[in-house]
Amino acid sequence: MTVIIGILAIILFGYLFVNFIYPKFSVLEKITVGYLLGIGIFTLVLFVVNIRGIPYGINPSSIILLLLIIISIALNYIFKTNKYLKFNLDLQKIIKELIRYSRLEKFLIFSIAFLAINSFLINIYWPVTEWDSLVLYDFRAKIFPITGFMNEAISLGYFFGYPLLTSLAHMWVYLLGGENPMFLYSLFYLSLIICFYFALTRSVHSRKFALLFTLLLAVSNLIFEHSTWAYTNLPYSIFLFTGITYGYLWQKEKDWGLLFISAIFVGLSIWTRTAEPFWLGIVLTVIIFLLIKKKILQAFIYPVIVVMIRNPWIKFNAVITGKNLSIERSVTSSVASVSKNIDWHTISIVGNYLWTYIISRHLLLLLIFLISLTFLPKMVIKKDISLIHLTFAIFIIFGMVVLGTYIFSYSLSTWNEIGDSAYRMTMFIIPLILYYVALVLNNYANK
Amino acid sequence: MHGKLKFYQLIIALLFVPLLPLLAETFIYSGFFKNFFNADISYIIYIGILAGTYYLFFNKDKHEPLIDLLINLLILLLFVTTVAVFILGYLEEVNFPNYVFSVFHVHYHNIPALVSYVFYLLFLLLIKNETKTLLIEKKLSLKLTSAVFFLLSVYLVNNSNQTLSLIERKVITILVKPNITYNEKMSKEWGFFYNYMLFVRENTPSDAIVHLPPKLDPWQLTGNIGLVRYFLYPRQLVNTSDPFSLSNKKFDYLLISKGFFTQAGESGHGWPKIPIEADKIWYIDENTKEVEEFNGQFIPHTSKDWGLIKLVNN
Repeated sequence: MTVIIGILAIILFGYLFVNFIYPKFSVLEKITVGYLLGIGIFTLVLFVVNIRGIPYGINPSSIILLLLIIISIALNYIFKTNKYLKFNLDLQKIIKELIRYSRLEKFLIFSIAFLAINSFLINIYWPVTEWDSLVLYDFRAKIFPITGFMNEAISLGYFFGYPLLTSLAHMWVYLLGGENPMFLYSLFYLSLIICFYFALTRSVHSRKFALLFTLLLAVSNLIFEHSTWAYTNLPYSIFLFTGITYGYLWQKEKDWGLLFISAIFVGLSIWTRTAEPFWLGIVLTVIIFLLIKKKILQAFIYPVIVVMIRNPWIKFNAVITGKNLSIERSVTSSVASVSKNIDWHTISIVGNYLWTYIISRHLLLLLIFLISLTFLPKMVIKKDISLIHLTFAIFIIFGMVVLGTYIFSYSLSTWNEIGDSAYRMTMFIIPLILYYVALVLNNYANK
Repeated sequence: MHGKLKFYQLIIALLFVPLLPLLAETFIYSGFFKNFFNADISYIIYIGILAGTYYLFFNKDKHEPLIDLLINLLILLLFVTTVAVFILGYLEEVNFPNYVFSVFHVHYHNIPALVSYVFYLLFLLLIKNETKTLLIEKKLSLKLTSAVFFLLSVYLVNNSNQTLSLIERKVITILVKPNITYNEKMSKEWGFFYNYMLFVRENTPSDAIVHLPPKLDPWQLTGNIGLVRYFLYPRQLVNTSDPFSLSNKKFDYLLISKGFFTQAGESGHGWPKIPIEADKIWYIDENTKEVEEFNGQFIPHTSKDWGLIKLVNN
């Protein structure tokens, strides 16, 4: 019971915070976006205050969450967004409306619900069992509360390759008396499905169409499987996808709240995994489009938000490991190293690796994406800036996958032994391409 | 009109044809289609999906008096086959491996493929039945959109098959053993390795320093300090990279570990490889999990596969 209250408190904080930033979201959207933002910001704050001397423990963590809720309520009242806080969830009305849905819609909703229920069922029963989770993510969650600080983990060596979002989320469940934090991943899965659906309905205006693509996302084996694994790949993919999507929606709806949410999500993707630099591509895309629109201030604020979320972990990591992961240094050294190491032999080996582990495994979606690109000239003619923005972001990220693999091929001797990891790393391609294809088909195929 | 009707009938037939080999793979034997046609069963499924795409996008005839009946039949078939996956999986789990085949002559592992195709058929007919505006008049757009729909349908069938198989694997245990403990679940996932970790945990104090085998081929599990630490924390762990020597660091217990990996590498299975003066030795049987206690020296190759040594100087 305390676990349920603890998770509801995170959702409440997220709900209030989302309502403050973008009150136009529907209730369900506020809940799901609220869960994602809530768990991300709460764990980040826990980490930051821990560095400042406040231990990981049930009392300090509860007080921090309570403070976050109070601050969010205050923000809503100060900025007068509290009038949107009404929680109009009329179940009777919803059920009546559901009954009126067509057979196809009921079939799609039932299929999505079947998948989500099974994800919860599996996670409520099965504990954390995967190798990486035991060695790293869940282990950190178990030893942090013993001393309240991270020194023990640091002394044991290899713990700081990956940020702490999922570990601290597990820890919160353990602190609340829970024994199994796996349900958090079902909540991530459900949040992805609901965010995807609502983000799509904002553009396609056809419930059937949006549900159809949402089912395609929910049934994806890689996504579903990861909803039953305590790995960081699913949360990371969700934050990256939502970061890109809300950036696109900002272009479409011109509401700064959406851009703000996009920036937070991109920042939280770094708080989940630092190994992949895809966030740079998203930030670069947004900055370019903001500068085209001559929005200099926003072009400054967006990366500042991302870096503000990124910095605590990066600085802490630099102190612990002695490695400086500054953006400028990473970018300049990468560009310099690529220009020094171009040769056809490596290109062919990398090409073969990309084909085996990424392209062939995502082949269907990549083919669909290629077909969708035939509508690109229409987008340009129509000056559909929002879809061009999305296309540009996807191209930059795909380019980073290729370039990043190339850099790894000569900078890491074991680069080609982690094929499955490369596949997992590109999991975000699934929601991203499905979303893109749905938009393109809806906007251009029938016009 | 007659020719058109025939073509329409051919498309409908092609749409339903994959059900036959899928049923044959379930009720006759796995690999039935490959045996007769020397091709993977997925090809006939793709042909069915191609027919479905044509039916949805290019067929403007309205010979669909039976579509409602077909939809109802498919709903029933989808329900029956999905329930069958779980019931047969349950029966297999509570009895013995291959029980379902030996009693019912059903390859129940092939049913998810059948379910996924029925799911696709139902999905297609519902779209056809409800979406009147799908036909796109511009030729290029129509071809491109139908190509996308074809690929998305293949994606749907492939993924629903894999996901249902995954759900079946995980959920069957829940149905068969809803009340098992955390240790039993971990044992089911990790096998004897987890029982062995529990055994070491039970026989060592929390401040013990335990010597593990090296992290080489046969001992990738028991020699992996990061992994073993999850189960034995707060005990301290040490090991070396040489299977024939021990660490210079202080330690008071050693694992006796045959190794799980079939690849033995140069050093072969079984560790420690040198005699150890022991205060006490516990052996655990891999099959029965029974523990035996001995006093005296540990001699490699003459002892049992799995156990724990308490050093004499403790």
